[in-house]
Amino acid sequence: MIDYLASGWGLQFLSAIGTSLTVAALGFFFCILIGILCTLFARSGFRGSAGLVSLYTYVFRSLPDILLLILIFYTLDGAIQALLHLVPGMSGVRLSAYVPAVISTSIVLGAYATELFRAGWADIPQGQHEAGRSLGFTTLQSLVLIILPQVYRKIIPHLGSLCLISLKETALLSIIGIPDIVRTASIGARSTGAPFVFYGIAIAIFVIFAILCSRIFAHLEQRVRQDRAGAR
Amino acid sequence: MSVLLDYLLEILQGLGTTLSLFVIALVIGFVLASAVAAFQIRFPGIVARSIWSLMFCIRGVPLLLILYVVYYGFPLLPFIRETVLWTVFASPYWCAIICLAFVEMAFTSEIIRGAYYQTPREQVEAARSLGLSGFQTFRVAILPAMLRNGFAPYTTEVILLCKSTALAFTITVMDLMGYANEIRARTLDIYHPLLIAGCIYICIVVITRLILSTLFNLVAVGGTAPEDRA
Repeated sequence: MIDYLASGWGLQFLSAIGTSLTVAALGFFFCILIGILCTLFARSGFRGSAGLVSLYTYVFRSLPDILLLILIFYTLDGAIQALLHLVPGMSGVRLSAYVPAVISTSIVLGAYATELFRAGWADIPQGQHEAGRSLGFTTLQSLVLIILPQVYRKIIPHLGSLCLISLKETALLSIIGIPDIVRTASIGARSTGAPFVFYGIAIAIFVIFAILCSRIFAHLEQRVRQDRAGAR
Repeated sequence: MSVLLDYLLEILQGLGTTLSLFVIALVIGFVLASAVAAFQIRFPGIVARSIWSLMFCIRGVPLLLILYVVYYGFPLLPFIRETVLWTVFASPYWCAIICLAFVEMAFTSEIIRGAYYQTPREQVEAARSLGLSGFQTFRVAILPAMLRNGFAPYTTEVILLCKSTALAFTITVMDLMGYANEIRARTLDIYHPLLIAGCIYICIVVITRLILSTLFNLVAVGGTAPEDRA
């Protein structure tokens, strides 16, 4: 195993880990953003807004992730390249495939995040917005300072699994051709004829990440509990 | 329009494969998960903890990676290649079923375990004090509560499994996704084949939800679910 890692595959794996973690982190961040925005939209009281958001989460949670990723990835890729052609002087520029990859991951994960935020938001009374405004907070301030911390406390156990899912989701990008951990491992396995070494390394990376993820979120959950106990 | 119909007919050839992958993996996964959960409940302590850790690791690894290991890695092992196991592992279809059932086991066993430990202790003690035997206690006091607690997460898990079957196309199984992807590669038409396959998947999910809730209403015994201890 050391021989393989020393002969250049180690660097390949390092860059693959970087790719996967970056896409996963960006995907996690944007899916939470999508979750918050969709929940705000669903609770905004516009006619049909709640139905529209429910339709988005229902459809996106019913379709296979790989199908959605392929669909969104190629649509966005084409659309972005076409847009770049419209801008004068940019026709020679090709945007990296990571941009549509991150966006499509976020949209797919956004459906899960929206469902999570809507559940966490459900029993926070609308009156708190008004209370915030009467204290002189702006809408954004009352959202960030009053509402979101309460939602965070409710959904923190599920955020951990969402974080893990976002890394597992990046594995699917290997099918599209992004050089992530799974793709590097399978190229290595095919070209050296030692599948167990390469797949083993990939599995080890995912397991280590899962353990780290659960530790971090268990710690965060613990802190939320203590804060709550202290407030009483 | 006739092109769409042609696509639809071609993709529908994969419907049987998708459904059989889904149902067979679901049944095998549930049986294995029950065994694993029962083992964990029966032998608490170090045995339960090590099984739990193993299941945790399986849950952390993407299904795609497990599929690759089983389909591309296992044929290199002599004890698989040269024994009767080869008849199973030579077929991508059975490899996919084994992987799906394996992952399903890891997730479902945790749901069953969670549902078991959510059952109020007093309820079990009450049944015991009425003179019921171990199995009778399980049947009248624990199982109904487990069904109530586990139903919602299990439905989610079944839907997730249905969606995961789409990954089988990566190891050359021709299911719905396999045919849709084949048309996409052949015609460079992304939208039509994938959207048609998507509609079929949504139909499968809607029907699955209906079947599960009907089953639940048939077997459920009245009672209140314990309040959400948030």
